[in-house]
Amino acid sequence: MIANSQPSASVSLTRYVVFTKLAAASTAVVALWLAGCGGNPLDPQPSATASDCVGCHTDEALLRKVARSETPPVEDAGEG
Amino acid sequence: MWEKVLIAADFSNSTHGRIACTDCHQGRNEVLEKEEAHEGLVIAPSAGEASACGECHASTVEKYMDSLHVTQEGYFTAFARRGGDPDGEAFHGMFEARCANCHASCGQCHVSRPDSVGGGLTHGHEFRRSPSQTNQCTACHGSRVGDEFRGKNTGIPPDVHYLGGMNCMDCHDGVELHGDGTTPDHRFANDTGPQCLDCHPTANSTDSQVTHHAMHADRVACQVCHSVPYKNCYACHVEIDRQSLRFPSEIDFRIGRNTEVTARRPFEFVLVRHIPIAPDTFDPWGLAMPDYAAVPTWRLATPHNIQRTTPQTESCGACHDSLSLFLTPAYLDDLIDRGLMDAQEIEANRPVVVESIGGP
Repeated sequence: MIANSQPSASVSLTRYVVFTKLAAASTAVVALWLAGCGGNPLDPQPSATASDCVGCHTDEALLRKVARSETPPVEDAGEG
Repeated sequence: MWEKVLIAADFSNSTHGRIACTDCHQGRNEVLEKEEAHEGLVIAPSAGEASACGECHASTVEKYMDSLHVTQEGYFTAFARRGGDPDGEAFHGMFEARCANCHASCGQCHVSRPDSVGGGLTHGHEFRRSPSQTNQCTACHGSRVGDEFRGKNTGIPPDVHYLGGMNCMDCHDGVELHGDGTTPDHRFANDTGPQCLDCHPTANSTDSQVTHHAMHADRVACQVCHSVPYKNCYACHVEIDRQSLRFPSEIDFRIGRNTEVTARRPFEFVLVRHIPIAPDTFDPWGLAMPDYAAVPTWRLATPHNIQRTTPQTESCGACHDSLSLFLTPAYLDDLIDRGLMDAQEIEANRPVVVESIGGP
């Protein structure tokens, strides 16, 4: 007697759900990686599409995050 | 801080935007880590004799390096005329520490705010042919010229040219500011600067339709009749009086004799502004001025607060019935009594004071 190797419907459904969730999670990870967010959303990195200086320097959100604190402005030393 | 380095999204479409950033700013274009990308970065590539702008604008940059905005020759001229050594190491050290903030690079007129007021890009790295009056010209020339022009001094109206929609560049063009390759001794020795006659050619002609213009042609500077009280400097160079108090600038109006007569300024009478420099101003730097009295401390002034009608234009008597508007010996004595002037300035200003004038 040949054993019936086909999974039951409930098992198949369970496997399907697990697979779907894993696929979704993997997709999200890949998407995040592609977005260049790295592993820490609090430490933004420039977009992987940025290929030169302009890519960072046109990114207002990025500049806001990484800008150094302002030193006090120089007292107006104009001609008076 | 972030606004100062923000580049506009459409900058890449401009002429300058099509040049690789690293061609002017150096640094590293191929990495995305900030510290690595900024290795070797040149923040102000237009500054100095190696100005990046010279790659394409060679002629202009070459002339500009000799201009007053770069050389600030007036400081050296004034110090030399007072017997100091402007070529010495001590003077250069003092100059770099106290005066050199006003060096203006190409960028500080055409793309960024001057360093002396915090720097930073003004319009997303857009290069503008004409500097911004607010962000550039008056960023440096603000507390005197800018305030006069815009009417920021209490009770003093704005210049009529400002009210008419004009700005700095309407009179002070690129030819003047870039220079012609020569270095004038000071700003009033600059033959490329503007004159009222450039737009008002008949104003001081003896054939003028205006009687008073015809009468005073070439003898009285335009500002004598058409300016109003202006700021005089007491805090810029001399900050401590006898009582160790800091004096602010004072609004005043003084007519004096012209000690800077040139073909462009043949006038006998001009407006003068107090620019105090005490005999011991440079003592902390070990710099002496053995001929201190050789140069007046009331200097030629061209206030940027021109009016069509002023107290001087109300009647001939405003000037010819009284010396109240003139720089007189008695006026200098009063300033000394108030601690605003040093007694040695009496001798320095002898060529400037007016003791009498003729009738109308």
